[in-house]
Amino acid sequence: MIRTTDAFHIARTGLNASQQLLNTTSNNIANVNSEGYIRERTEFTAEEFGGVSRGKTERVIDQFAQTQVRHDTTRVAEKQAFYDNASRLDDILASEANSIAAGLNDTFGAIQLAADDPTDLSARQAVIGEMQGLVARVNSLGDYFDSKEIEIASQIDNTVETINTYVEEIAFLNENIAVVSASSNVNQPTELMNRRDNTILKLAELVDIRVIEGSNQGQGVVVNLAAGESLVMADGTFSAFQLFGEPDFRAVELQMRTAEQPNKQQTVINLKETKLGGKIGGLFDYRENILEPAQREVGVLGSSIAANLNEQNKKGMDLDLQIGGQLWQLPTTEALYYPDNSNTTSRALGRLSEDKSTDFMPVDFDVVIATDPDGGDGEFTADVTLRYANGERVLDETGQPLTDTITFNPTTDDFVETIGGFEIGFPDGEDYAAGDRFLLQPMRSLAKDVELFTKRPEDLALAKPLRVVSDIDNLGDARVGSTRISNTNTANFTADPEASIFTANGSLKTANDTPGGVPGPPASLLFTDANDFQILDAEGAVIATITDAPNLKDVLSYAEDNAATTGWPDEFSNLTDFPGFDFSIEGRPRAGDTFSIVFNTDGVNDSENGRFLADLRSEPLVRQSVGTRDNAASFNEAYSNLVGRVGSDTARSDVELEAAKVMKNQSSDWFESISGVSLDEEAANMIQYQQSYAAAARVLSAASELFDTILQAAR
Amino acid sequence: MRVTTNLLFEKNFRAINANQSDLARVQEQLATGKKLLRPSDDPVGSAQIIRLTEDVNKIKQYQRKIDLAMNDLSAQDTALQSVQTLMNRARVLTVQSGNGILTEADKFAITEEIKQIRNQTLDLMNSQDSLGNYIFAGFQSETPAFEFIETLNENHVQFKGDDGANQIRISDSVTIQTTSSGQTVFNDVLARLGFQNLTVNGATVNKFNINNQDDFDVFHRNNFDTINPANNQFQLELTAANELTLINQGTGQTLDTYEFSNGGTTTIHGIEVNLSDVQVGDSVSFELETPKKQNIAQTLHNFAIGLSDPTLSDGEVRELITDTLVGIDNAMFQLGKESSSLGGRMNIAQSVKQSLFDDLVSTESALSTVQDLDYAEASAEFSQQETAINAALQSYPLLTRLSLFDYLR
Repeated sequence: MIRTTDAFHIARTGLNASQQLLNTTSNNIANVNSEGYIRERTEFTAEEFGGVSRGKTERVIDQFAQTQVRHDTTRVAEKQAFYDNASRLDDILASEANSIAAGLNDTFGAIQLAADDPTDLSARQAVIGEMQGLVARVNSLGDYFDSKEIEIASQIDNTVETINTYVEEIAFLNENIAVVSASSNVNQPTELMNRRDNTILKLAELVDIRVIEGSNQGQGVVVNLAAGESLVMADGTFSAFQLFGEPDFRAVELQMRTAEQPNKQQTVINLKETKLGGKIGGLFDYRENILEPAQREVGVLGSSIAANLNEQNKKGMDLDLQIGGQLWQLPTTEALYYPDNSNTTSRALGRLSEDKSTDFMPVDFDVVIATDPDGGDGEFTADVTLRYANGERVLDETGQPLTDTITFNPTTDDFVETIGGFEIGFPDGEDYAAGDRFLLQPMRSLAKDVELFTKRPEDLALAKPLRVVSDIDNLGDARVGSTRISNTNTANFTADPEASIFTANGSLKTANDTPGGVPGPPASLLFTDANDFQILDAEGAVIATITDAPNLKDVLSYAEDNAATTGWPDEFSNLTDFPGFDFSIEGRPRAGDTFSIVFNTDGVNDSENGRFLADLRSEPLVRQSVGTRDNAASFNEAYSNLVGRVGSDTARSDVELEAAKVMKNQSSDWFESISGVSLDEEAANMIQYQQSYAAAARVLSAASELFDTILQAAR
Repeated sequence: MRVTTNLLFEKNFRAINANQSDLARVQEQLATGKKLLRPSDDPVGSAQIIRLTEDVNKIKQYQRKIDLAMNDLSAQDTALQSVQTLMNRARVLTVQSGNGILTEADKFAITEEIKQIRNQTLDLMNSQDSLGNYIFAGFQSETPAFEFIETLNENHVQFKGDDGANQIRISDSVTIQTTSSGQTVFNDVLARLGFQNLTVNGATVNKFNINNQDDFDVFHRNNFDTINPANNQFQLELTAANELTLINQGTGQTLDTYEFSNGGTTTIHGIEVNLSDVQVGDSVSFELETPKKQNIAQTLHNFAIGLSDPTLSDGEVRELITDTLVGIDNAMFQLGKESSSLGGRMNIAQSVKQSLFDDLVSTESALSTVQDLDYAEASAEFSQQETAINAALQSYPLLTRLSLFDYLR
């Protein structure tokens, strides 16, 4: 039998329930455009003795879908940050205005034309003009790298700030959710949970995280880095990121400081930046794998161009009839020092050896002073380790790290040569101690700082500095073939082992410039038979006598290589490269034929060195592998390799980005289809709940009628 | 799948966005005409573009250099041909001057014309190019190659340059010489070879002179010793009544023996020998002259001076004419050698130019394949994208307009 009080109770709970359902539906409709809003549902159970229980409103959520969305968001953000930056470099390299290749074409084209007519000043001026253009292109690339470095550093800085803010916010929400949950055992604090999920998603955009939900409602979530370090603990404590910028404030590294807790010491952990994922991981990845290597490769290319043009120009004679000088100026590098050094004002300097350009590598030099200076300011040794921009050691072809130990004496040495075509110097008068550490990055700022040394068209050394003249009375048909200049060092050769036959004032050294007992430098060649000849000095003294030469190619080298039989003086052989030139004879000489060696005075129409300068364009001069110098490319090839590499890295990241986007679309579609609001569905629900409300109201009126009937019957 | 309101908007928005960016890309391709807009579009292709562009530039520069080289070479060729024409005329005049019936007036006229030819030759030897460089001066092209100083006693024509010759690169592997030094072309000309210091021991010499210059030249070339001058002394000794023996006095070596009759004429290595009153043991000795090189203008100048010198005997005039003819012939030989070398180089330049042209065509077409847009394909793609975006734009409002709320009244 029906108890009327029960009917009232049932009607009231039914009305309540329908209202609550309508409430939930309205809330869903109202929040259809709220970011991160998750559809809610109110669930009821029938009460044991009639009526419906108080409903429980929950978020409709699939943990797996949510985790997948976070993960895919991280991936998209990482690839996006990488791609955005890489594609800008890609665009810069694509632009004709910045192309070093176009600058090289113009420069070497101008050199070739100038070599066709070495006396034409306007053609020489064109070479200077094109070289200025080339320098400007290299510089503007260098400036771009420089500004990118600063930009990336500040982006990383901002991102770290934001991460710390989010971490703090999540910890705060964790605490609040715990408080609210404790005060109500029926409804979830859905709004706070939405906010927390939102913040976690934003955090996931910046860094790869793993989220562990608490086992029961109200417990906070635990947020860990993908590698396992805890960021946020369930109880509301958290760790913070911090940046570490020694010795280079632009090449910041990331560390994590653990939560501050009583009775527990704070610890600092170094993080592996490129494994972080998210935007910050993408930025570090870009910096370490695109920006810094490309920057150093452009540095190697720029320094190779400069060094080779300089070296070749020094082997020629300029329009002022002097030995050629340098055309480009390579900068001297000052080392970055570590804060733990014994004296932070002491410096280490570095410069490139221009004659070792095929050893140039896109690497940094880590220098650690190994022994205390002898007697405080005397000789000391330093260990040099080659490192890539990301700090990894450079390995040679056998897998051994490339290292070197140099011995430096501040009073006698300015610079001491080490590996990689590099020279290191410690200024005299500054204090050093064992353990002091310096970081030299010659290739990093090179593209920015390289400049033209001269703007005078006359300084272009298109002629060779000496000529070999066949005597007019020669009876054979022999002619001078190629003349090769290898060394034009003008030092006095009693003092300097690098000396050559040339002097500083546009002439050749005479017989008087030699130590006693040794003939002067070669001045002529006298044939005593078709394959027999003597090398004579300017006074006619015999330097070497060659009999039965197999051919007349590079006659001086032949004499030197066979010193035992030719009598080529040891004093000459002991010098690095003396006399610093060689030549070949073509055709068949007859006995008595003479060839004299003279400075190329007034030889302004000679363009042989100009041809060699122009030939540099297609020679393999830029080292492409750290292991061996055999694998070298021409300037243009080196540049196109760089463009190709950046292009393929960009293309790869584009593909990865697209793939990540598709994944993210799919997972967010999945998530949305579960947790999103459908207005149609809510409309249908609303009608349904309106009807159930009307029905419950009808139950109430029916119960009321029943009660009235009873009352009247009892009257 | 449950389709939520946001999903509906989001999906359509995404599709339109993707279509638009595709359309923008094709449009950029069409506007620039380039298939690759940035290196990442095709990293290998863009590296290729850089290399191929360099190749094209290089080939164009080589072509330009060949044109310049051809100019230089043909300027030299013209100069050499003019000198050759002058030499021919000089040779005719020289032969004419040997004609005994010439009057003094004829001789004067010939002398004047020879002087004229000498001046023209000097002028040609100092030819200049458009920039004022002396083309035959070697490396020292800013000063005249030859100087003519009439007041000197000898060596009136002096070379002031050097024997430097410029090479220019006209392809990756070929360099050609674009200049020839005046030293090689005009100075490296042997004067007539001869002998000197004829000493007679006993016999009477009726004749002892060169009548076959070619044979004598061979003998001279084979026996002349620059290192040891004593080896240039030869002795012709009557070793038996009818036998002459040629001995090198320096080495003491017997070279050959010749049949001889007293008063009869024998020719020994181009030397006509007629001796009489010879006893066995009598001898004639002579020394080979050091070969001399003489500029062709100098040869003409010597001839002009000699011809106008009334003190010269007929014999001396004959010798002078022979000297001049040999000088002119040797010069013509040298000029011919240079001309054919010039022609050879011009041929090389021409054929390299042709192969460069072929190279250019194939390189440019390779570049175009990598770099240039296929307009037909791109336009087709453009209209395809356009259709797609149109469909998306049209269906979008239709789909989103559907709402259950519209049907609830």
